Amino acid sequence: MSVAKWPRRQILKMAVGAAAGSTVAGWSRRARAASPRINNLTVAAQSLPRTIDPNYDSNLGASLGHRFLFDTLVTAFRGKPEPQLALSWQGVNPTTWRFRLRRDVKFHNGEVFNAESVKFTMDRILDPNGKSAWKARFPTVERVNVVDESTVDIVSRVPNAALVNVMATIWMQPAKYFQQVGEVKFNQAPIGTGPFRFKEWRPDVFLTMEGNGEYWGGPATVGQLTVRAMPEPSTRLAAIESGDAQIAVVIPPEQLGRLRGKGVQIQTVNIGQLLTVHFRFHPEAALDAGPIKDRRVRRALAHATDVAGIHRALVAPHARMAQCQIYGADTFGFNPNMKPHAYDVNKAKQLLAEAGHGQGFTVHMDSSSGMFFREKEVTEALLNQWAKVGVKLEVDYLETSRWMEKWFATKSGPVILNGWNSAPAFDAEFPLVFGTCGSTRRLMCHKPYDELFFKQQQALNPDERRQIIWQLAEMLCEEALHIPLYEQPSINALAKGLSGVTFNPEWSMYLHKAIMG
Amino acid sequence: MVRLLARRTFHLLIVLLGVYTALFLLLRLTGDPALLYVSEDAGPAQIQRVREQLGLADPLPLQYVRFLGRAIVGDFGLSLRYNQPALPLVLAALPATLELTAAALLLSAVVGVPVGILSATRRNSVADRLSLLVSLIGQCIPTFWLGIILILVLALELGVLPPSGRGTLAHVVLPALTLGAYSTARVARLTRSSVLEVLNQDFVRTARAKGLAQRVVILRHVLKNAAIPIVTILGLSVSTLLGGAVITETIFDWPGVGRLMVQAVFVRDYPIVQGTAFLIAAMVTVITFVTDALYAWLDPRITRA
Repeated sequence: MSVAKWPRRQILKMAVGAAAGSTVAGWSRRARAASPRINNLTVAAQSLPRTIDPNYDSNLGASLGHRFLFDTLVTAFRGKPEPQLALSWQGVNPTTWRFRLRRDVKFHNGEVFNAESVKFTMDRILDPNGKSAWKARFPTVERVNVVDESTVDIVSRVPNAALVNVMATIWMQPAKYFQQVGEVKFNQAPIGTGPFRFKEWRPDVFLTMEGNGEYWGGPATVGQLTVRAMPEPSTRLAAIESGDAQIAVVIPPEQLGRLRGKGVQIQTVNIGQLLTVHFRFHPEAALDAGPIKDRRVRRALAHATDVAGIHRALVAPHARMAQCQIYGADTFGFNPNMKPHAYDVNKAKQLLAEAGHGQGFTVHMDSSSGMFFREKEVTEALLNQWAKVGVKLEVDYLETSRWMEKWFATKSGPVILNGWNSAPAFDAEFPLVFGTCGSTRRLMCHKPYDELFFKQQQALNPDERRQIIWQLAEMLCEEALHIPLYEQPSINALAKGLSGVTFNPEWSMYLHKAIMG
Repeated sequence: MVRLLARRTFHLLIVLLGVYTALFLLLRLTGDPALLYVSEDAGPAQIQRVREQLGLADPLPLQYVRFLGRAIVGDFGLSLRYNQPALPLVLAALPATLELTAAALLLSAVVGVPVGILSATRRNSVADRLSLLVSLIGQCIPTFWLGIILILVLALELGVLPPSGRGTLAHVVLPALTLGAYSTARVARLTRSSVLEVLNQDFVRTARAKGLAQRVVILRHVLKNAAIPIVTILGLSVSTLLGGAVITETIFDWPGVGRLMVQAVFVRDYPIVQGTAFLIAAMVTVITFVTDALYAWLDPRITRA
């Protein structure tokens, strides 16, 4: 074959190969396993949990690592509790939930999972001197009683209707092993009941695990699982395209066509976080909210926001549009019949005129950088849409730590781009609690709202409780405390031929049944 | 020599104390890390409790003395973010950074110096103009862009090198090319100007007049006299490469200290930031010392002065 006839790519390949020399000998494209069992599976993730001790990290996204190693008593991915380590549950009296546990579960070191494990884990969460990030989710829980080896009671001071769903946040830990090794050592060599056993962890670099052949949910089909932290989207893309990773999470939507063209599969899941424009004006806020304090102004801004247009232009078909509720369709209490405020510029202008702001005004907005899907584009859309009714936004794009700092210091706003989490409990109570007078981050203080909120807390009948939650959501929507926009999507890529993978709405995934081929 | 070493060690301690003090004060000016380690519904009492648990509720001088006392024995405390001892985390990331720095430095020296010499000895030729153009591009090109292009072409299109991660020697090629591009270009340009300056001096003409071969003139006479600025720039490059590889590490998923430190800065993980900065400062000081020693070897007049 003459050089002139050689394909250009082949020549380039040879030239580069020669330049790289023998150093590349250690690397080659990974051959796909012929057997359905997968020897090595790599996930290119946006981030890793910051601690492997699961009850210290309440960040949405930490579940991605924790779900492999640990289990919860229940999951609540669609708003309804489903059995995990607990087989069933019932209210034995208005303040006590009784959980019956699986009898066939062992931790990775052989320690038996039982009622003592639940008590130990919960006591650690509830410890007033402990550092658990989840403690605030159990404000009314008083104690945990071991009834027998496989039965445990969780007792609250007042009826606690949402408790079963909230238990989906707590990962079970082994009492004996933890007490034996202590907190720091546990974080270095954690033991759970999950489908994968811990092997090695380099913070923010990788987490390596091996399949648990004795998993109660069936032996893992994956030999070794590595989750690599790749914060840069193009790095995750390169990893899936080159075959270095078989799964890549949070893929930029503009790359989907190219990936599909190469045979990569795409699966999208809404992750239990809802993006809203949030107004902060309560009296404790460090900043004077000015016109935002007026309900007519907030309603005007809600009418000036084209929620459907933003959804259609920026996120459809990856994520569901919000329906004037600060939680999505996977959350218990979601009302599918509610609708956003109608996009009506004239009505918005009229409301502003009624409030004495017909000439418009300027207001500060804290937007975010690197926190939410399409955050910058949404902010730009708001700048344009609100300008049509004379409202000018002065925007700060804050990176996560600065955003959080201003949030906790009540210095953000008065207009804030905010994501409300309902994952992993998927119960409307958690985001709705922020509307009560007693909430540490309260949005408002209305006695009727508080009364209804406490009523839903104690309504042990789910249908009755759902109806009360719908009323609470209507009240929040009427007050226009938020302009809910859309659910946050996670767009994930899977290598050709990979199946048996489930992406969960809490931003975790099940891989123990994954097969290739 | 002993006196010199003692003096340098004393300088090292002063530099480390200065770095440590500046870091301690600057980090605490950036805000309260306790706010980043509580749940989203935490109240003031919970925030205060976390502050106390993290040792951040005490007066600043007390915190300073406590941190310094521990740092002397190599204990930078528990990472706020990872709940793990900070120093082992930093030390675990160090080999990756050293490997990448060494590879990029090697590229700068092995490619930059010969190209600079070639360019100088063939001044105004096509090769000279081409090397000037390429080195200009090398200095101007943004690291993140170069990295992504290299991944696209060499890893994805041609499939000859892995796109990310660390493991085999092949993994270091793309990050080293990306990270080393700027310093290679800088070394090439500086070598060219430095060699040109020496080429015009009388002793070079004398050497040539003696009938010495061009190779001998360049390597034995010109290069040694032109070496001081080159060694300086290589020494400075090490400092830049050690601390400035964050973008390269992120694009190539390279598990070095740059990425660790930036992540730690974002979440105000003081122990990690202090541990990393401490190590980098120590290494830069040692490298400065080695560079100074090389000056003395290259030009004994410096020691006498």
